[in-house]
Amino acid sequence: MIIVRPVRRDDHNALRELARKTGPGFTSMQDDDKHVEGMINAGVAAFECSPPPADAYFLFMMEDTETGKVVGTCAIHAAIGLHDVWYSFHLGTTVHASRELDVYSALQTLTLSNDQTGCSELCTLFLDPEYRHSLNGHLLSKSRLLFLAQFPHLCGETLVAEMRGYSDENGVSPFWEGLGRHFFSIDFTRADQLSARNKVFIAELMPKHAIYTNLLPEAAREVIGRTHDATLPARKLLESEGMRHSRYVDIFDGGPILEAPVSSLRAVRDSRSYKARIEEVSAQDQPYMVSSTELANFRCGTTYNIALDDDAASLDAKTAAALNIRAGDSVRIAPLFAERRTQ
Amino acid sequence: MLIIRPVDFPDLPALERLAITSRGGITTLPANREYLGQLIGQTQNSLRKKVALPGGESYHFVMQDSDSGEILGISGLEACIGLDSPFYSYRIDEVVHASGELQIHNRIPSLHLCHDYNGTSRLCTRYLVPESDTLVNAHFLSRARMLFMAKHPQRFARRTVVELQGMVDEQGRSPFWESLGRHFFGMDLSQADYLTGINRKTFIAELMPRYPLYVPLLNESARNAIGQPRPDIEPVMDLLEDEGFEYRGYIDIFDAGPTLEVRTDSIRSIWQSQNRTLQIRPDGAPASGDRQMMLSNNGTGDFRVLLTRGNLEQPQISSSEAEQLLLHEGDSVRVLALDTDDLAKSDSHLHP
Repeated sequence: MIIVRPVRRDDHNALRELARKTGPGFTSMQDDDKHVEGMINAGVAAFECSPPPADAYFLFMMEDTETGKVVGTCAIHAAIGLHDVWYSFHLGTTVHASRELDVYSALQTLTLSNDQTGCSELCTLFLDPEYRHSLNGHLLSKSRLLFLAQFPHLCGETLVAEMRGYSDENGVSPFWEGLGRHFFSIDFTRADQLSARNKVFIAELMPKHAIYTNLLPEAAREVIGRTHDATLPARKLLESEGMRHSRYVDIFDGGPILEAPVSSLRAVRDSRSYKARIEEVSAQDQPYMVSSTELANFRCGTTYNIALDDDAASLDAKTAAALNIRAGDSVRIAPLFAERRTQ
Repeated sequence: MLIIRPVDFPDLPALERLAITSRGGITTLPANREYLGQLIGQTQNSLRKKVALPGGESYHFVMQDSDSGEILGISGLEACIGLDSPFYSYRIDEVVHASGELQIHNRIPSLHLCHDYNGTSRLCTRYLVPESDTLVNAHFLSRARMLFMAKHPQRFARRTVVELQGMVDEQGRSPFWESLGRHFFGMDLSQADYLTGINRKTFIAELMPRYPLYVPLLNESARNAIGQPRPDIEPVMDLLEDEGFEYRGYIDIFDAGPTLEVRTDSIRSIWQSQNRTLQIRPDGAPASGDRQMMLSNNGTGDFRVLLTRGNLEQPQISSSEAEQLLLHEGDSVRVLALDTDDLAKSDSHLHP
């Protein structure tokens, strides 16, 4: 069975292997021993500390329990911008009008902001290409929402997710070329890599005054808030959970930042906690996400074999074993999809 | 003979013709009869007013051929700008964006809307009809104003500015306006200029960008226009720089033409001009020298300037010239040599 669990110290090689597969441009997971070590240290600390730090980095691994193989990873940053400063561009409107001259122009502005400071962020999601089938992608992404439902006190009230912005077939970001390049005089890739390590230079280099978007080249203007084609499925998935493009975009590539109050997320609203019963159950017509409820032993998987009544959930022995759930344990359950799907 | 004198009411039809010939090229000379009438009225009122400190006065002077009576040009002075409605400029500031770690040091110029030149005096509305637009006439028309300032320092502010028209492309469009102002105003530059000229300036505050503008974000043609005068008025800029005017990084908010400034008492024509006692040359006697020079009386409402040749130390003029200057033998006269390096080619036209 495929499950999602907290990172462990012995995941180093597996994570390094995944990082190797991400390829360039995946800044939250770089193919670099030191970087991977840092991720693991932060991830382990988040689950081991009691209580976890306010800006805990909850790093999860997706594992095939039958082979013990790590096949994916995902993470939640409990609060962004508390240590490193979080930057985004706020898309504002400024109206210039003169009644006397019968002129009215509503102009869009981009203002450097730190407005998402303290929000939780969905970050670092990568699934081994060989495992991109069945329900794995949905589980990997949405297990984090079930985690947020179970541990709301560990996270912010608002959840954000940065979508990779548009770049052309040569990897050129028109937004960067039209804006950031003037201020950085370095390539997008380098700026993006640097920003993953240290954001001080953003403050040092980025424009502090609002930018009128109509002064930007058309190519840059057109991609404000546009998601990279490869990231569209991820955006669709998060939108089906209730996340929406707020009026914020990434400062480098203009990609949209999706946002929603944690309490309004579909998986959070639809989830409930039950007492586990272990018995043979017949298959449902839709899959459910099931998770254990202890922080350090958090496990999350999907199953069709489930029966729910008022306060008890029946799981089959195989599922319960894979999730380390014993009879009488508290479990959290939500349908995997917002809408019932016909198989 | 060419004379320069304050504009008066009978000049209105001639002024209108000038405004039409200038085809909207001069912001402060719109082809609007009512406005031009006010311009004359303001000049006459200002000249009559007793002034201890500069205020809303403005003075316009016309260049006239005393034989034909034809009006060939106009130039103006405003005593103190920005009183009724603010005077806007862009100030070019450099913001340094630097990161020691990345070894990046970028100096980013940005444009800040400002009122820094409020309260200064301004040279304005300089226009010569094309057929009289020679270098000598340009100097004469421009610098005659300074003789007026020399005589009436209390009527002007400590600093004086002058705005030069900015770059235009082959179609006569301002690249700066097309790339910036048009987005905010939604109208042609000529229309915006016209509205500024007839003093409906509040719209600038209503429509102009409120945030500073990063120059690198403007397109190339707009960037290249910043602080550049229209090529054909470079001789005017030379003239003004020769007078001591300097570009200090302030530009016009519409076409990005440079605004030049100077300490009023450092204007060369002001400190170089001298008071002398006038002598009238007997009819038929030869001129006493051949320095090209400007002579003005020390009047206010009856201020007159003319261009002649003679001896700077002991100015002598013909009786008909004295008649034009409204002066008699022994009167005090202000003299100023017109010779500059530029005037070597004194007969060449400004527009070849």
